[in-house]
Amino acid sequence: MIIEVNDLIKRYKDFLAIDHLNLTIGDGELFGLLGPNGAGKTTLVNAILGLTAVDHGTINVFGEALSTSERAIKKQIGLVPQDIAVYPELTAQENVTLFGKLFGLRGEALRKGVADALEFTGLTDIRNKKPSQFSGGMKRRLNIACAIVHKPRLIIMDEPTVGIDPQSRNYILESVKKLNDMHCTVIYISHYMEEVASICTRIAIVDKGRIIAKGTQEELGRLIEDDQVVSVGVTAPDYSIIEKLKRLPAVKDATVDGHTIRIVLSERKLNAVLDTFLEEDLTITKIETNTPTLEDVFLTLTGRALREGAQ
Amino acid sequence: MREIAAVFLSTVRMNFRDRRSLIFMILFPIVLTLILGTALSSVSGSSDTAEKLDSRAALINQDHGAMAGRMEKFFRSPEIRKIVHTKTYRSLSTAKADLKKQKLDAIIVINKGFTQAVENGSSKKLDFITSGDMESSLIKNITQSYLQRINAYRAAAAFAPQPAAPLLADHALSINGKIPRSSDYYAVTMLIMIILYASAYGLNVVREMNLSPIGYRIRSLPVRQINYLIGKTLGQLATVFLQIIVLVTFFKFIYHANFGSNLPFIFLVCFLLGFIIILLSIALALLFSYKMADTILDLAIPVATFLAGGYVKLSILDTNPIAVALNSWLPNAVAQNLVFQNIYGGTGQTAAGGVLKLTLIALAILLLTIAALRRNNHADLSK
Repeated sequence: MIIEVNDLIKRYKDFLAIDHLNLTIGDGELFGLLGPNGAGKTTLVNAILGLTAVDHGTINVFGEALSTSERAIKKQIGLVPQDIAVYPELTAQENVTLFGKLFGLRGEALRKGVADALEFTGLTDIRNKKPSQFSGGMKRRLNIACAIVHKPRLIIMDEPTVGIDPQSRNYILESVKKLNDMHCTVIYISHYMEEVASICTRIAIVDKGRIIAKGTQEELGRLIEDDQVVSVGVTAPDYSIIEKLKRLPAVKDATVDGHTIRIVLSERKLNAVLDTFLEEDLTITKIETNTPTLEDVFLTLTGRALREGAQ
Repeated sequence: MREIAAVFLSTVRMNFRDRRSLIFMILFPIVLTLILGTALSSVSGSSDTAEKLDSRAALINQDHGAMAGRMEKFFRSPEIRKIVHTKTYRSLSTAKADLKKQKLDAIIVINKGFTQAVENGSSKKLDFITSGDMESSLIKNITQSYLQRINAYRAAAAFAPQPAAPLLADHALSINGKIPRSSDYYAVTMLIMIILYASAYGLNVVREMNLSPIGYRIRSLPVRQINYLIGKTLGQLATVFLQIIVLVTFFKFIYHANFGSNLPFIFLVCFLLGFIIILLSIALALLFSYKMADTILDLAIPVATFLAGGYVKLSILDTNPIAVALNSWLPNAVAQNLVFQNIYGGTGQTAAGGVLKLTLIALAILLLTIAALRRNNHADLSK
């Protein structure tokens, strides 16, 4: 096992950030941590890296407790923080070199590590430029290069695609898969369901400090396989219909998104739903039935959309 | 050690690429010195301000002894008359009235028994009444320099191992007969002031470590936080020291300010002051918060510079016991006096005593910073 977390509890005064959390991540996995903002994902990462003291529980990384061999463990981990954490006054190459030195690399290993990291992230040609001259996507790639210069066994990526264009996002997602193909274990943290769904081999859904579901995408889908998701287009959505729909025995959840009302049904019984629309005298423009996605799994398990955040 | 060296070198490199900081730390004191030097020169319409200041003093001789006569003669000498117009008064009340009407800048009263006191080696003091302006400060310095000469003769006559007690209670800027031009004066005070503003470098260490994404990343690395902070702090110190060298070189060789002949000593004093201010700002930011420390230092630096006579040399700073007490331990005032004494000579604290005092302050601040760092190391990365 690369990571074993047992019965972890972390409190910030009265706020329970991690609530009796258990987690194991195996060697070579591309593991997704999915959850809304404030769910406890970053706190969990901080605990794994020893950056925050925990109130209860144990964490083993590479089979060892962090407290006993912190430096040796950290030498094998690369963290890609959520915010860009590079020095703006240093060039891309100088940034990667400095972090390489701080990971303990010297001489030829350092030179090769820097060259490989820049090559991997596609920054070789602009290695002598400063981050201030970079686009958002290039800065994100440099953020990654600084974390992989020492060729770590475990890479933790915390929302590495926030605020970048689709092209850069695809580049980064492809890079993550390549890293995993190079036998590197990756923990990919995001609240973008589609990213996690597209690259991760196993996923844990985190909410309110707890893992509410984990498994492969298929395993998670099976949690609500009997459910049906129906999208009903209406000309003028009336919010009062949501309450009426939620009162129906077959409806697990109902939300409004523009002119579309999305309904999760526990049984494939559409009649009562359509009757409600007719009672409300709403004009239906389209009806679609969908296979449940990770978003639907999250919605079903928590009653909230992923991007509603911690509210 | 390698971690410290890597962080140290990158910090120096980054600081010298940060144009805004460089402009502030190098151009600001140069421009300010030019402005202050020129402004003070304009009082007399000459660049050599101190020698042309039209200062007026009343001399009241109530002693009539030999030493008092010599002092009167000193003030009537052609060299001194270029600087101070001395007029003999019989009545103290008339002189005080003229001082109030601003016809005078200072009154020197040679008390009865002055000659006897000098001959006996006792510390009978002169009375020195001033208007508190720049001119009165100048007159006071000249008077003091004369008394120091008497002290020296007296000490030599008695084979005293150390200088006898001064006759005029003034230990501030001791120039021993050599009077700095305004440009010389401000070259030193602005240098000292800009070292105080190196606090920004110290604050930056804590801001980066505790408040920036880089600090978060650094904590995830297999690097001891203390090593990173040592490398960072040494880098900031080296930057300030290199800036000091640039400034002194400019002042001395281009601006032709008087920095004396013992530059290594001046660099030592400046380095100690830089060490103190950077560590103090780190300790304050760790003990309180970055913002709070920034506010405290923003307020404290101009006050400390004013108290040390950095902006203008007011005689009240040499006579008010609170100001005197503060100045004797304010690191910038101690450093400033050490630099002036090194250039112009004079009594007051000895060079070794001053350096020892700065070293003690530096050690105390170092201990405070270590304690603050230990507390910070145990602090949680709470949200």
